[in-house]
Amino acid sequence: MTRFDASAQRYNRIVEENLQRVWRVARRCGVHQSELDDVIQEVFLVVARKLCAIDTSAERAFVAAVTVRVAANWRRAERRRAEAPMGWLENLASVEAPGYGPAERRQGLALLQQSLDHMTEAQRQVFILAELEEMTALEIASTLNLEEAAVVSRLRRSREVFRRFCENQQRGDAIQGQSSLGVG
Amino acid sequence: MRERRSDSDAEQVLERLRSYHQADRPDSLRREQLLKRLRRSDSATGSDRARSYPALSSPEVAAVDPPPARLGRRAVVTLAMTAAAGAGLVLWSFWSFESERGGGSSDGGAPEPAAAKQESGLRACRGATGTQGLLWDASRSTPNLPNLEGRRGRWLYHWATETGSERVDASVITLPGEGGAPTFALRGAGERAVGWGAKLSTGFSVHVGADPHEVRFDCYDASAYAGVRFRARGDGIVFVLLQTEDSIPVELGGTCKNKCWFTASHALVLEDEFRDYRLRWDRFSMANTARPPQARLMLLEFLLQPSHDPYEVVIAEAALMTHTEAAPR
Repeated sequence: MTRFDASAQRYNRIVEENLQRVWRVARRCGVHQSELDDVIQEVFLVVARKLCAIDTSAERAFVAAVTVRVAANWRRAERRRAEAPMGWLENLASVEAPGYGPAERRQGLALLQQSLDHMTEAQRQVFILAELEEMTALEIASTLNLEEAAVVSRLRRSREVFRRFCENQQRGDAIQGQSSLGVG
Repeated sequence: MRERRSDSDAEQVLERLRSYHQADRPDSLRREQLLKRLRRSDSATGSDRARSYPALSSPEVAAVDPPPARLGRRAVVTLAMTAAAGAGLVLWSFWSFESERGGGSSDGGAPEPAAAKQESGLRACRGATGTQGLLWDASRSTPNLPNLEGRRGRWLYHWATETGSERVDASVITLPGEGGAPTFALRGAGERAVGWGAKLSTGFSVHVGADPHEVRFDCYDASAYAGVRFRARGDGIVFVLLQTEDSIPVELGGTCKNKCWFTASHALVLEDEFRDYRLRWDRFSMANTARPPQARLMLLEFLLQPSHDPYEVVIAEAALMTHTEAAPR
């Protein structure tokens, strides 16, 4: 097998293994449905370019980190164009999460998106990688080129934003007599 | 106490939302479409293989005698874009090549060589001698192709719009040269590339009819050369495309009847500073042709991908590369 074949196989494997991850992280980052394919492609283009430099044990973390960065660039470009708002609510139809009804899942993802929209870009990136993708602070720090302390600090602040969002949500639910968060 | 309860509630909520998030995935059809778009050509089969992805390389690997191509996968898009350019490239038919119509050589070039030996069943292509490969250099102040070795054409800048496409002569910009003397470079730039993107391109042998909009390309045999070389800077990825007789539609002089504009290509990552790139013919991923592209060339193109951001490509020099230039240093 030539070096080219080997790198081709590795690249294809990374695509297979990480496509779903890139998809969901890009969506959480607010990428518009119509742009999703292009953003995903851009992510894997970066992967292709850096393939030789990606440690085999860090592929998952690398791909996730590239996704939040590419998505952040997309958001910046989107803001510059001052086009229509994110429209993430229309993005919520994909396959159903096992064990949850469509409405419940849809509402849950909408709430998750709302909470993420309350965060700064830096907080959102770390929150998605740490809390949703369950990466360690060390993994995030190395893939985002940050100090571990900075990651921990951003994560603490983003958790605080999330906690406040939940409180506010519950307060609103209490007024309306329902629970959108599924607790309490 | 209240804060602890709040933390606990938030944890519960987060756990549930995390499960929603982790189960979020494209439906199977969308997943297959995406995989098809992303996978490398060497794992593709059938018609996908025909649309082989171009190799992607950094300037370093683009240098002479580079290591095996690292990969390339954006080609499907490129090819799709190039296909979309089918309509777009008909814009060639709207291009005016007034300067070529006279056909005079301003370069005092060598006598035009005889047409290359005709292969069985194929029309003859004008052939290069392999001694004067210049396509553009920094001393030129117009976008005309140097009339050397029978080449006739002009550098054009061509970009997709929301409703179609536009083309103009390539901008020639002035750069500071050594000792303060100005030098020139070709430039294509814009605020946002849509559709199939934007490109700088030139034909090798362009014929303009009585109506300047009637344009046909002749094939050009550049087999006497080892590849192409150019000095360029820009933003991100550019696809170098060798449009051949096999990829150009019949009405424009080629032989392609369907899936046109899928052609031999090579992707490069341009940098902010000028860098020299040398691409041997064998660095181009083949598509839509079984023949070496250099034997039946029609157009050389530098294609930029669609982008949300301002983009730019600047070419300070371009030439067909001699075997001596291509030899490992």
